[in-house]
Amino acid sequence: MRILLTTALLLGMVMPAPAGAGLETAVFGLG
Amino acid sequence: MLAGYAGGTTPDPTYSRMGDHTEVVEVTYDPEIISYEELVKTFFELHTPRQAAPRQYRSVILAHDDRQYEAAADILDRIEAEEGERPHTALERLDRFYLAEDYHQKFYLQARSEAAEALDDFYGSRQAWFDTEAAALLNAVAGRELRPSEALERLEDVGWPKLEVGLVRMILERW
Repeated sequence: MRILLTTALLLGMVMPAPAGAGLETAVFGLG
Repeated sequence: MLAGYAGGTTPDPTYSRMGDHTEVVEVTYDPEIISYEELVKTFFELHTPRQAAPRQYRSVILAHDDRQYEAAADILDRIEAEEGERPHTALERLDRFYLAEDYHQKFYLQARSEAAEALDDFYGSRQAWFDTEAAALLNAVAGRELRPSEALERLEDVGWPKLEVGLVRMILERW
């Protein structure tokens, strides 16, 4: 699995989705 | 979603030197999918702040801007009107969010070393997956908020890249 995933990353097949435009953040404390 | 510290004045807080900050979560969301109001309502479904807590653990909403502040104030007023009691939740302006140490992020999932190492390989580093939706889903399973079978069902319509879905499916099937 390690090799498969590393290869896929190198080939650019998998990229974590970039932070999309229009995203917002909210901050909460709840104990 | 990331764990961190905010709401105080102590510079560069850490877990052991939090000063007057509070333990908080920073939620990244797409307002076209879920509104800030819905997040605040969910916040109140997740806990019932009926009494004051030590500052480290207090219930607090830290608003980024006027719109968030007013939305949260409206909801607090509504709860008070409906329940006859105002939640012990502070509403303040956010100065800045300080990211907590790595070991506080996706705490339950990091304890599942096989799953965590598979994510390390996929995303390139441990820090790279802390704020992903995939890690949030898996952390919910690791924290027993969600059964693996339920998480697998949710994968049907998450809309993530195909290989990311494949990785999470593989981790869940081996859970």
